Amino acid sequence: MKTRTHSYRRGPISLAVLFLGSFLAACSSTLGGRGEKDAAPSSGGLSGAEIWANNCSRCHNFRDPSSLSDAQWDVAMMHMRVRAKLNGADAKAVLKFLQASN
Amino acid sequence: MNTMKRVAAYFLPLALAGGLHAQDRTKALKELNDRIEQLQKDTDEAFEEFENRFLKTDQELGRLRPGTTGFLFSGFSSFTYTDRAGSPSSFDVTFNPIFLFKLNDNLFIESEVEFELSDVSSAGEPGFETDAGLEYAHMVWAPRDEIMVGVGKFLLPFGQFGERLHPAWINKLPDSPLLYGHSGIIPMNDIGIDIRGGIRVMERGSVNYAFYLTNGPMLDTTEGTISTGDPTDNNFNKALGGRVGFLPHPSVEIGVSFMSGKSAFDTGTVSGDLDTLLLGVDVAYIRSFDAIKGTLDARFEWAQSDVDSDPAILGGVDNLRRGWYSQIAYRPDKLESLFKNFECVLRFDSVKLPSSLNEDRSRFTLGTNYWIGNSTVVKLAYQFDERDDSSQETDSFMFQVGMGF
Repeated sequence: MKTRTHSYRRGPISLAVLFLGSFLAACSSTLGGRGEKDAAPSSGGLSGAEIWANNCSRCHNFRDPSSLSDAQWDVAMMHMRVRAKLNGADAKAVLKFLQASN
Repeated sequence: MNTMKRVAAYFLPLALAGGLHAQDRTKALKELNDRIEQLQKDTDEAFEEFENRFLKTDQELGRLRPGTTGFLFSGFSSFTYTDRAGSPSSFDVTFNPIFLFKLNDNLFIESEVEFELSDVSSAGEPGFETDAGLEYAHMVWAPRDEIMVGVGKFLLPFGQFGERLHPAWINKLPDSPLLYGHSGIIPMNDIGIDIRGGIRVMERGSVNYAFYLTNGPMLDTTEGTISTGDPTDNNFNKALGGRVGFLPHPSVEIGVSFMSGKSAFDTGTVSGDLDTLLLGVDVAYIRSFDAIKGTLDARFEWAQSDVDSDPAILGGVDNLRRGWYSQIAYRPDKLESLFKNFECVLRFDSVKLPSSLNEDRSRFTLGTNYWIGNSTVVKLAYQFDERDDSSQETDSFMFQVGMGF
């Protein structure tokens, strides 16, 4: 069997490793320091209701806050934070709004 | 006369006293009534507070119950009827349970499994089977507000539809745009490491990002399409990709995506790796207007997949694939009538494939949806199909029920 390799380069891997390393270093430097627990209510001064109104409808209809319990919203918001790439403080502000409205 | 004076002198004070006494009684009754009303109000408020506290306590107890801490079972399901010109009509069903587990404020696992029925009938032997596929199993660590680091199999953050809009209760039409279908321009998921997050950049604007390193694409030697999701990196080469989304205003999102790597191929006699580059642009505009009593949802995505040519693949033609879709939906959700649950959708999508395949295709789809609930929708759509090979054109009627839970 013949094997062809076209312009095989290690460039992308090196770049990725460098990129990942930088990010992980930034992450590790914060361990034991500022986490989500002492974060501001939201990153831009918007209320949880405003962030909820601005972000959720970007993809889907608004879910009724009463459709989930406080504990369920806590988990669901983390899923939405990952999917919509929400800032942690914003996600926390939305969570508080939903838990106060259900 | 004296007698009259004596009588008057006797009764006048009594009459005055009686009048005053009546005023006191009225005042006392009014005060009593006010106090009763206040007591009733206080009692109602106390009951309401008690009820709220009881519900909160009940929820907290549920949260502390062993084995259920931070767990949520979610997902969606769909039922689809398709009637294509020249083909037998079909019923189809999918069930996609999603398991979410939050270990603490920084650690999270999300996983989706798709169950679907597939036709495995062959000549003279009808049959079907149930397929189960792992859509994603993604472990996430969120050390900071702006950063999440994930590992596992995840939906590729390339464009918007694949990662965010494909569930049947979110997608506004019964099928996917051609970009994400069989043409293989944008892969859905892959295995590797990702970093993602969001940053506020202005008072009302934000930037979101996702970058990933995955096993990368493989090449179908017959059709020249790429696919991802193989747990084995069969060419010692990872793919690097990412998407950056910018929201200058909450109603607008503009995204740019890329993926770069090498596609492995093996024809049985020849194998190798071909440089592969995917690029994409996506735009979304979603806004509610009082003037039109409803919400406008407009989306556009464009992408191309460029794989180096090789004589072993499609006879060495330029393996460049391009496609796009544009979709607009309107729902009069500000009306107070039944019409607020209706939604109309228009989508135009198109793909341009290597000329030797003779498979360029464009579609125009008209749809009407009725929202039974916030996450339950009934869709009716008609699709006009236009292909290079007109004998393959299949206009179709589709009906779908999508439910998210």
